[in-house]
Amino acid sequence: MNVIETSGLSKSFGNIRSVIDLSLAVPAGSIYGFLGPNGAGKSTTIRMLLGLVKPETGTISILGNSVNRLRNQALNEVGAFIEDPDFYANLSARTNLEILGRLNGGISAERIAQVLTTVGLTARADDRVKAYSRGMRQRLGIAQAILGQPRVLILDEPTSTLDPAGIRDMRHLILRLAREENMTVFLSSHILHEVEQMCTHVAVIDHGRLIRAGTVAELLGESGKIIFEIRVRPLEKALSIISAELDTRPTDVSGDSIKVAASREAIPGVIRRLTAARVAVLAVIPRTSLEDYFLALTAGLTE
Amino acid sequence: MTALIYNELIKAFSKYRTYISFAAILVLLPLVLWGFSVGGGHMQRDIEQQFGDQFLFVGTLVNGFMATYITMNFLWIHIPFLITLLAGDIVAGEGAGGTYRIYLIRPVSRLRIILAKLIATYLYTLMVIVFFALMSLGLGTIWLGQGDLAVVHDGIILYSAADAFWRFLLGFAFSFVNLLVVASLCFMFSALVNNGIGPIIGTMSIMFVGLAITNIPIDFFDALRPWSFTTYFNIWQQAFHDPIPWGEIISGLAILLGHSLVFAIIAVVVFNRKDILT
Ligand SMILES: Nc1ncnc2c1ncn2[C@@H]1O[C@H](COP(=O)(O)OP(=O)(O)OP(=O)(O)O)[C@@H](O)[C@H]1O
Ligand SMILES: [Mg+2]
Repeated sequence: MNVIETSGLSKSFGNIRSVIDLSLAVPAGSIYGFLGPNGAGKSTTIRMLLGLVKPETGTISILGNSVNRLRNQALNEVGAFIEDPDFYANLSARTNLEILGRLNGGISAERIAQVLTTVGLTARADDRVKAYSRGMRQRLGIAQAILGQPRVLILDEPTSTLDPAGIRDMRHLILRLAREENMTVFLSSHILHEVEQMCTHVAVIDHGRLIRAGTVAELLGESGKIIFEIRVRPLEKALSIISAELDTRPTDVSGDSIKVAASREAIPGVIRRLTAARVAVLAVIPRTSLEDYFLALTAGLTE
Repeated sequence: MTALIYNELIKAFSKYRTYISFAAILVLLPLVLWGFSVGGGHMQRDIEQQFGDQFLFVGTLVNGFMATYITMNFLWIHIPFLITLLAGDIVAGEGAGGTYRIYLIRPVSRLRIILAKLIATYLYTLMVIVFFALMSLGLGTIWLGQGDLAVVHDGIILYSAADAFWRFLLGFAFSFVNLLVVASLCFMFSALVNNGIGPIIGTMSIMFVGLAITNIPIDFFDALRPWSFTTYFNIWQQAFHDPIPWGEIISGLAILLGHSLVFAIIAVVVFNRKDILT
């Protein structure tokens, strides 16, 4: 069963087409990474999922309910935040959660205390949010999202403003919630490494269009899509041989290293050519990271 | 719905600007009353010299009723500004503050949220006018005592204390309807933009233009006058006419309430369709 489904979703702002014909299917129990560079349309998509922005075309359903027609049912089991969350700054974290809890049909004081503990804000719960650091606000963002014990968590760039330790904590927190509370998580990110580490599924979006979607394992292993790093000496000679043999340009060249997309089957042939031409092959490393894959995809699109 | 209205009031009263109205009234009205208590003897002699041969005054004319009546005449233009402090912010402020991103993603419809905001705005308006009444009529009659109220309208009319009292209650009730129009107008602007200052400027601009049309006696304005809602702002004064012109009052109130309704409906429709991008 798909927890979130969109089909043919589009939205423009004036001349800018932010999201174009986007269809997504987020399976139950997945941790779904929504990956794209700045301005790709991630936040716009998430705003549409949550009913903040009305799509021009297309439909969205969450847990089987249309966000457009049955908004309240659709959002009933959803917790979310969008970019750097803002709160009622003159009020304490606890009061903020009380206010938001009333919109979730009444949340007990115990539950509020519980989520504050989960995100590690108990000691500062009665301070004004005004006095919070960005990292603390981000954690309060998670607290308000999980307040109503949702089955679906939709998070827009949950780690974007955090320092390395904060990022690690946030990732652990999200993974723990997904596991312990059985939530389906849909999270956007422009950090590929993050998606690779955390997610079971990924959709890549650029310039408003869906480029690829699938499980992380599928995309990483997709044949012909692996990036190899080939270390060679001398570089120039190797470059022309590799380009000719694979009929493609390298995605990156630096020092003695050439990164190029190739299928596994093509590699032995390349090595043979290189040695025949007296090029020293120092190393061939499969860089099957989503980062390279993603760069190759989005670069191919912008050029 | 009560929970939603309660939320709006908590949010509003967490901002300093919400208290400005009460602070202003709290400072200004005792000052005015103090002025009457100090200069009262002088005023009384002036009045007796001018009218003493036509009327028989019982007690002093410089009393809490007179002070309230004069204050209302001077301040019915200022109080609307106080109302806009909340009305202008209550919808737009959350846009500017980015809190709709956490408030409007929950299983409560936007319609209910905007209605809660509207009701909270009206409640605030009521609180301000009640506070104004307490600080003028209440404090005034305690401080300066009760007595007859002299009102100038086609000559001088004298009302006994008991008569004056319920006319004031009526007057405050009509003023409340005035303020509802201002509150609704400002609320509508608040739903149209994402900053808390624009709606105040917008509302006050319309008020100034409207009041110019209402009060400046030139031919061109004569034709416009019935179409400007500010023309009906002096309706509260009619509570002090004798006999009370109920026909005129009811049609005036209907026009004011009609305007409020239109402004409120526009606000609700705009808010329901709005993309939340902040
Ligand atoms: N309010 C707006 N008015 C005009 N254009 C907008 C607005 N919001 C977004 N856009 C445009 O829509 C496109 C997608 O923006 P969006 O914020 O969805 O991207 P994003 O993937 O979230 O980017 P980022 O990683 O920087 O957060 C961009 O080109 C952006 O300029
Ligand atoms: Mg974004």
